[in-house]
Amino acid sequence: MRVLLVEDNRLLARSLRQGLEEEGFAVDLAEDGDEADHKARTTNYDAIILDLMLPKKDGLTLLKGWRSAGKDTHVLVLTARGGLGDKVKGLDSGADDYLTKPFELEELLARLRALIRRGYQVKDPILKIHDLSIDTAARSVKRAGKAIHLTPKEYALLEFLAFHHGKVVTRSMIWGHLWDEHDESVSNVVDVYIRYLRNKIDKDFSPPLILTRWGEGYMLLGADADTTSPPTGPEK
Amino acid sequence: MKSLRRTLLLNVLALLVVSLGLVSFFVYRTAEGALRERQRTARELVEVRYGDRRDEALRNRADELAGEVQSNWNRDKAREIWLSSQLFALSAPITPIGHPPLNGAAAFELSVRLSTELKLDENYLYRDSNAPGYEFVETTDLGTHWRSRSLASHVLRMDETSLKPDADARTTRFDFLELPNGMVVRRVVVKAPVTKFSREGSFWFSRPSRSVDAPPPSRGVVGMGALARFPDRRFGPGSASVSGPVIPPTPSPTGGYTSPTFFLHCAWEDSSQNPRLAPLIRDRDERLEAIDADTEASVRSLRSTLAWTVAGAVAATLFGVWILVGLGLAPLKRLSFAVSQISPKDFHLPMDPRSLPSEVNPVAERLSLALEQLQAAFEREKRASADISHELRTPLAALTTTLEVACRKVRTAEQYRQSLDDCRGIAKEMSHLVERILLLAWSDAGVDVLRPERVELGKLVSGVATIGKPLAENKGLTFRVNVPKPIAIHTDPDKLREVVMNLIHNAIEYNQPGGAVEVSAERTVDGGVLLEVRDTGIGMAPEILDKIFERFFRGDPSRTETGVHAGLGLAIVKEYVDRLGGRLSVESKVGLGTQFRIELPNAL
Repeated sequence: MRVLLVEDNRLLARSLRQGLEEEGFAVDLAEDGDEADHKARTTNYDAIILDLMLPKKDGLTLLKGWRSAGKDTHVLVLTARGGLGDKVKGLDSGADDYLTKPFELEELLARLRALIRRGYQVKDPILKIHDLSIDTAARSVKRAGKAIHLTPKEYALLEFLAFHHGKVVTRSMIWGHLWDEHDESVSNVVDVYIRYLRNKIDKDFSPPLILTRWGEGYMLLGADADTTSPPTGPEK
Repeated sequence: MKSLRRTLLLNVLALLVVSLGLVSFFVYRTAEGALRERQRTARELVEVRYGDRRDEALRNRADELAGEVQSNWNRDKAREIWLSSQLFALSAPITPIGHPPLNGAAAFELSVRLSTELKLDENYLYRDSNAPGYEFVETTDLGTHWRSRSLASHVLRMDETSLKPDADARTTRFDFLELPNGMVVRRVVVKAPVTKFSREGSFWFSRPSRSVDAPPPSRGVVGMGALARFPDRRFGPGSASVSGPVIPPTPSPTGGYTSPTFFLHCAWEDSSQNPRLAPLIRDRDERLEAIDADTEASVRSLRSTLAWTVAGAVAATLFGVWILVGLGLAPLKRLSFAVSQISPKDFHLPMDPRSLPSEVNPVAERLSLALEQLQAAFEREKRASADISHELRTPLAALTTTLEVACRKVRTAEQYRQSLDDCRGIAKEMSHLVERILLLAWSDAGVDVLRPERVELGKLVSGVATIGKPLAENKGLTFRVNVPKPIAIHTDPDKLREVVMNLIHNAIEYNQPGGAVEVSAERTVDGGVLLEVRDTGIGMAPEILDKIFERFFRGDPSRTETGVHAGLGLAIVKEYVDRLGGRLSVESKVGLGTQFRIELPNAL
């Protein structure tokens, strides 16, 4: 999942970015209001972590601008202002969640995951597709009751496919949501990760859940095979 | 707790009691004096009246006694006749012509002398068997005296010349006498003529008109007593009316003769044992008693009137004061109610001070003002603490996040070193921030003491410049210090250094590539110094210029080159320049640069 981290304190931004990346998030960083505005408007992020006290452009102003422009990316406001009035003002300006500094990294991650689930209209933190079960909270995967260990990137890919299960996901979508702006991996990196994932998810089990749609992309099998229509995620 | 109302009431009460007490005292004294004066006058009047009546009674008595004397004379008529016949018989052989005329003056005189004995019957006199006499009578004639036994051996002498014989030949004289035994008596002296010379006529044949108010002491002396009454002038020498058988002494055409007279002294002691005086004394005493009682009653009534008046006045005043003080305190009550409505959330005084009376108005206005200031101070405090917490929270968040990220999994030594290094940097930043906040807090609290000493300004500035210069050169800026000659100044060097340091930091941080920073100091004409820090930096817009000295204000929060970026630097500069007694001014143009000027007086 790709998030935009808007934070002007460099040390905090660096640590936070590291923490998020280690959790499998693709993180873009913006250090001032203008940069944040530009990135948010040009890229479809799964979520934005927004500090309110920013050089050049205030966080709330940015948020209002995005909302009035029809941008509905989920925004988690992260600020040192902890007053109730500030919270209310932040939420009323269109924020989806609010977290005051200093915060627990775990809480930030949990809230961020919840926001992303909400973005795909999923409420149950455990996604179940056939005998595959993905615990988005614990970031663990089981198939037929057997635990499968995935790297953060593999997990992120599976999760992304699961959010769109029953629907074709293009390579560029995967690229756009799972790799950040600085990633200079080779172009077939998505295919490489799909192969890793198939080895772990489908190799020892039947039926294969990750399907390849030639010329389009990949698809995780729908929940009830062909009979039910899969939940439709937002077109990202 | 002291009650204003009670205190006022007690004071008014005390004042009232004292003043009313004084007034009533003087009123009482004056009125009582008047009453006593009236009493005295009335008593005197009674005494005078009593004296008059006593004198009248005494004179009546004297007249009676005089009549008695005359009647006694008359009773010895036999003796006179005897004497006359003896004289006649004796003269017959001597005078050949026979019977000598015995009607001449000498013969009359002689016969009177021989036949008269001015004696009174003691029984007619008032005496008490035990007490000494209270009626003292003495009759005096041509050399003969008769004294009542009550007089014992005393003599009621008098200067007869003082009793000038008048034409009337009968007169009375009153005076007081002190008897040798110390008794003071009232005496009347009656000078009465011997009027009855009837050689053969019997006195009971003559019955002249009687006065009703002079009853005779005894039946036997009725006639004579009446005849001797004074001031019946019938018997006076000038009287032409003669009635009955009474004959001489009628003045004869040939010059006639003077009636023989006698004096009767009658003296009374003022004693109720005297039956004639008793009613008078009783009457007098009753009157006096009535006057005294009347006066006492008046005084009592005066006293009670005054007491009631004072009590009434005190009660009325207390009630009035109670009400008035209540009315007077009403605005205070309203004010206190209004004050009780003030809460930490609402500092507004819920009343219009103009509706209060002028005495309380300033209190309410001052209170309103103080509350406004307090609220402003509260707001400032709130904002400051919010700012402080905000400024501390961001590095704190960075610290915790760095630590949490570092601890999430096993990392290489190099990674841990990097994390620890970051943490140290953050901690340093925080401690720096805390230090600056404390600086301001100390200054606000007044615990920050100035330590003025002799300072060489050039040295101070170049000392600061040695720190600033490398920073400036890092950014490719030109750094110049311009202190042409030594300037000695009396000031607190630490604070001044802090001021200059902050200004230099700002000048470097908000500069433009290839810009310059210049610090200069010079002596002003009035003996102070002018310190200037100029830069060719980005400058500030006027709306920012207004706010730069506010705490936690940052013109551009992204500038963090010098590491000091909490928005406290200029706040500290302003605070310190104020403390040093200096004046701080700033000029700035966007894109051209900024110039801070500090004017310091030479002495603190």
